Amino acid sequence: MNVERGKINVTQLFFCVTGFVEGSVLLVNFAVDMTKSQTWMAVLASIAVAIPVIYSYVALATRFPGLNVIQINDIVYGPILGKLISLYYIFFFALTFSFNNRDIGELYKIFIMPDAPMIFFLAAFAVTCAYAVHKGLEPLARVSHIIVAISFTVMLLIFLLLIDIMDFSNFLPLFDVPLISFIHSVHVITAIPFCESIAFLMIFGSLDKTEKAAKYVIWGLISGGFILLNVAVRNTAVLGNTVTIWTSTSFESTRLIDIGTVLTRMDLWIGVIQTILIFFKASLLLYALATSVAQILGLKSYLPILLPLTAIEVILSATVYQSPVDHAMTTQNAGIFYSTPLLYFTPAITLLIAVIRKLPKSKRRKRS
Amino acid sequence: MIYVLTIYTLVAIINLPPLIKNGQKRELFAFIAFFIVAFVLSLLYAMDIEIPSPMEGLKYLIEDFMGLKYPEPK
Amino acid sequence: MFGYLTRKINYYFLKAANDKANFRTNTGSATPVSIIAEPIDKDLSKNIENVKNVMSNSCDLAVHEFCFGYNRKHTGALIYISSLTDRGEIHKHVLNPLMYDSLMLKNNETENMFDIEDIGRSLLSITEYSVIIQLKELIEKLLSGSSILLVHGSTKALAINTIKVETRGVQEPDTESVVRGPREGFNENIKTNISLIRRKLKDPALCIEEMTIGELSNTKVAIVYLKTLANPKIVDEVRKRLSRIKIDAILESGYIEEFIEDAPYSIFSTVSNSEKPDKVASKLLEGRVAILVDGTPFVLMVPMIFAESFQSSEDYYSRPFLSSILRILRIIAFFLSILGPALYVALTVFHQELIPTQLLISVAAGHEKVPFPAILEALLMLIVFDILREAGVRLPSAIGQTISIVGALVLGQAAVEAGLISPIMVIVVATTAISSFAVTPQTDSSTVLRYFYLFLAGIAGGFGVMMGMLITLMHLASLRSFGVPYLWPVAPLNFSALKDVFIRAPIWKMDKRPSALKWDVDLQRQSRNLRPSPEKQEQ
Repeated sequence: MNVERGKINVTQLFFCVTGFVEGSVLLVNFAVDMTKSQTWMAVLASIAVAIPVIYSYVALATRFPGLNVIQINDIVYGPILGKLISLYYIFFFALTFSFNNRDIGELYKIFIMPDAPMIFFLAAFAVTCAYAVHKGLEPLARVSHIIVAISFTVMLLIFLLLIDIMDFSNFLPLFDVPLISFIHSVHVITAIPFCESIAFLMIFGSLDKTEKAAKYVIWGLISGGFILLNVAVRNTAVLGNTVTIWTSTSFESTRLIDIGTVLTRMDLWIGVIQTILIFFKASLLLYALATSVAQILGLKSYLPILLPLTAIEVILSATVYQSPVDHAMTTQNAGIFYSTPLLYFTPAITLLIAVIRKLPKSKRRKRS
Repeated sequence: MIYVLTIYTLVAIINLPPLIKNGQKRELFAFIAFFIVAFVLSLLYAMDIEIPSPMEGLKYLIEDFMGLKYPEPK
Repeated sequence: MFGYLTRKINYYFLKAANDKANFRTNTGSATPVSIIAEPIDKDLSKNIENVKNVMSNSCDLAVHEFCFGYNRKHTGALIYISSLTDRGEIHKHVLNPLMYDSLMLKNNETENMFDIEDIGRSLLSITEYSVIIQLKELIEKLLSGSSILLVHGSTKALAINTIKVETRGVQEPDTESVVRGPREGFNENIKTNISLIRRKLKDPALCIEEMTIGELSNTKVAIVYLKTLANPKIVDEVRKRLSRIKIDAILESGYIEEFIEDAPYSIFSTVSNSEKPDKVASKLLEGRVAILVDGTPFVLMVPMIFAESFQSSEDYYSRPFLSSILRILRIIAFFLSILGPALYVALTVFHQELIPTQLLISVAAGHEKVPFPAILEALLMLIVFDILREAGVRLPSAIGQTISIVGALVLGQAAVEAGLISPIMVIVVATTAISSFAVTPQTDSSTVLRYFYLFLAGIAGGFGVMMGMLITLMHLASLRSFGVPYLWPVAPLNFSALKDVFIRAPIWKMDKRPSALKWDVDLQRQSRNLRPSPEKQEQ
C-alpha cells in the first residue's frame, strides 16, 4: 500500500544505479590491456569524468519529470529529427544488451561449460531477462538492494580472504603508462560501466520524486565505482604484472584463495555474483529497449513486442562478434567510439536546446 | 531448426490470442512485424547462413573510414 | 490464405467490439429448488402444505400441529427439522408455555392471540427469535436450524432459534502443535471459532461481518478484523472479492482461498491459514483481516507476506535467542528443500571440479555401481519419497508408521546395497525431505520448485539453477497480496520490520506494527523503553 504501482522511489534508484554500474565489473578487463597495473587510477579518473556526464542525464530527466527520453526527443527536436535521435538510442540499447548477453555466454562457455553451445546460454539468459522485464520495472527495483547487498558481501569477503596474498609493490612504478593509453583506458571505463546508465533515461520517468534524483544517482554511481575500484586494486595487487595475460582477472585472483584446502573454489562465487549482476543490468537494458521501441511505435504496452525483441536480441548477440578476442578488440575501439556522441554529448545538447527553447512548460501539459 | 520452429510456435500461441481478442490492431501489427524479423533471423542462424554483424559495419565506418582508433601502446 | 486470415482476424475484432458493447451480467439461478417468493398465507394448512412441498417431504421435517389459548380455540403449528434442532429446548421453552401456560389466560386476554409478535413477547421463554413474512425466508431459517411457529390466521411467523449442532470440542490442532503456548484450536463450528477469537481480543473494535456464500450450501462466512487497525481499503477489497463468489457450495476455506487469491497461477500462496486462535489474534493485531468459514477449523488471513511462512506462533512465546536460531534454520531448510537434489546433480554432473577432491572420490565411488545417470537417480528417489509421504498421510497412523519403516528400509538400505542408488543420493534426498517439513506453509511451492530446479540442473547445471533462482526471485518480487508486496519487508526494504524476519527481536523491542499494512493509524504497538532493567537506586 505504501508503494505506488509502477513507481520506484529514489532509494531504489540508488541501488539500481549501483547494481547497474557493478554489472560491468567483469569488463574492467577491457581496460587492463591499456593501463596494466595503473587501472585503479583509470577507474578513479573515470568516476571523475562520468559524474558531470551522468549529471547531464539526470538534469535532462528532472527538467522533464515523468517523461522518458523518447518523449523528450519528440518535444525538443520535433517529431522527425526526434525520432531519428531516438533510433540512435534504441540502436545503442539493442547493441548494449547484446554485448551483456554475450558476456554471460562467453563467461559460461569459457569458464564453466565449454561443451555446451553458446546460443543455449544466450537464449536462456535472454529469456530470464525477458521474464524479469515482463514483470515490470517495479519488481526489478525492489530486488535491487538484495542484488547489491549480495554482491557487496561477496566482494568484501573475497577481498578480506585475499589480503594475505596482496602485494602492494605490484602498483609500482606509478605513472609509467603513456598518456594516450591512459586516456584510452579512461574512455573505455567511462563508456562501459558508467555511461551505459544512459538507459536510466527510460527509467527516470517512473520515479515518484524526480527532483531529488540527482543526488541519489551520483551516489549510486560513486558507490558502484568504488566497487569497481576495489576489484581493480585487488586484481592488480594479487596478480601483479601477470594481470594482462588472463582472460578474466577476477577469476584468476579469486582462484588463489586457499583456506585449509577446503575453501579453494571461491571463484564459483565470482561466477554467481557476476551472473546476478549482469542479469540485473541486462534486464534494465532490455526494459529500456522494449519501452523505447514501444514508445516510438506508439504502443500502449511493451509486453506484446517483448518476446520477439528478445528473440532478435538473442540472434544479434550470437552473431555480433566472432569470438571473445574479437569482442575485446572491437570493444576497445569501435565499440566505444560509435556510442561516444550519444553517451557524452546528446543528453547535454538536448538539455541545452531545451533550456534555450524554454521547453518543458506548456507543451508538457498538453502532451501528458 | 526444429527447436526454432517449436519455440516460435509457442511464442505465437502465447501472444497472439489475447492481442486479437482485445482488438489492439497497432500492437498486433507491431508484434507480427517483429515476430517475422526474429523468425527469419533465427531460421538463417539455424541454417548456418552468415548474418552480417552490425559491429562489422561500425568497425569499418569508424576505424577505417573515419580513422578513429587509439594507437597501440608500445 | 491471407484473405482467410484477415477475415478471421476481423471477425475477432468485431466480436471483441460487440462483446464490449453488449456486456451484460449473466445472473442465471443455479438453484434447482424453485424458491417460492410468496408471503405467508393466512391459512395454516396451506402454509404447511407449501413447506412440505418445498422440502420435498423429507423424513426429518417435523410438523407439529396443536391448539392453544383459552378453550384451545386457536390452532398453530411448529415446523422444524428434527436433525438440526434441540428437542428438549422446543418442549421446554416453546411448546410448554404455548400449550399449558396459555390455558391459564383469560378469554379477553387471548382475543388477539393471533398477533404473533405478542406471542413472542409474552409467552415464549426463549432468547432468540425473529418475525418473518416471506416463505423464502421461512425455508432459509428452517434449514439453518430454527423452529417455525405458524398461527392460523396470521400472515407472520416466528423463527425461533433452537439450533443444536453436533461439534467437536476445542482440541489441540494436529497441524500446528506447540510445546509452549495455548493448546486450543478452532473447530468446525463458526460460532465457537468467533467466540475463541473474541475471548482473545476483548475490544469493541473487533468487527465481525457475516455473509452467506454458496447457493446450495449457504455457508456462513465471517470477515473478522479490528476496526481501529485494519486498513479499510483491504477490508473493502476482501468484501468485494468475497461477494463476487457465485458458487454452488463452499465446503472448506480452501474454496474461498482460490477465489480471492491475487495470483491464482502462482505456486506461492498469497493467503495464509491457521487453526490456532492465538495466531489469528496476533495477525488481527497487525492489521490483517481474517476470514472464518463455517464447517472448517482453518481460518484464512490476508494479506500474507512471504516471511510469515518462516514464523511460528511459538517463536513469540519462547525466548528470542532460540526463536532467532530456529528462524534462520527454517530459512536454510527452505533453501535446502528446494535446492538439495538440484545442486547435487549440478555438482556431480556438470561441475565436478568444484567438489573438494576427497569428497569427489567418495561421491564417485558411491556412484560407481549405479546404472542410472544422476538426474534419473534423483528423480526416482524424489518420486518415491513423495509417494511415501502421500501414502503415510492418508493411512491410519498405525499403518502409516509401517509404511515409513518399510520405505526407509527398502529405499535407504536395500536400494543402496543392490547398487540401484548411490548412498550420497539417499543422504541428499533424506535431507531434502526432512527440510521440507520444517517450512510447512510453503509445502506446495517447495515441492514444485524442487522438481523445477532438478529439471533445470539436469539440462544446464549451475547455470540452469541460477536462471531458475533469478526467475523465482523476480516472480516473488512481483507478487502482491491484497496490495502488500509479497517479499515485504525484504523487498521493498523496511529496516524496522526486518527484526521480525530473519531473527525474532525481543518483544519489548518490536514496538511498531508492520507498516506495510498501515493507513493512517498509529503504528505504535506499545510504549518504548519497556526493556526490563533494575530500578534506579534512590540516593
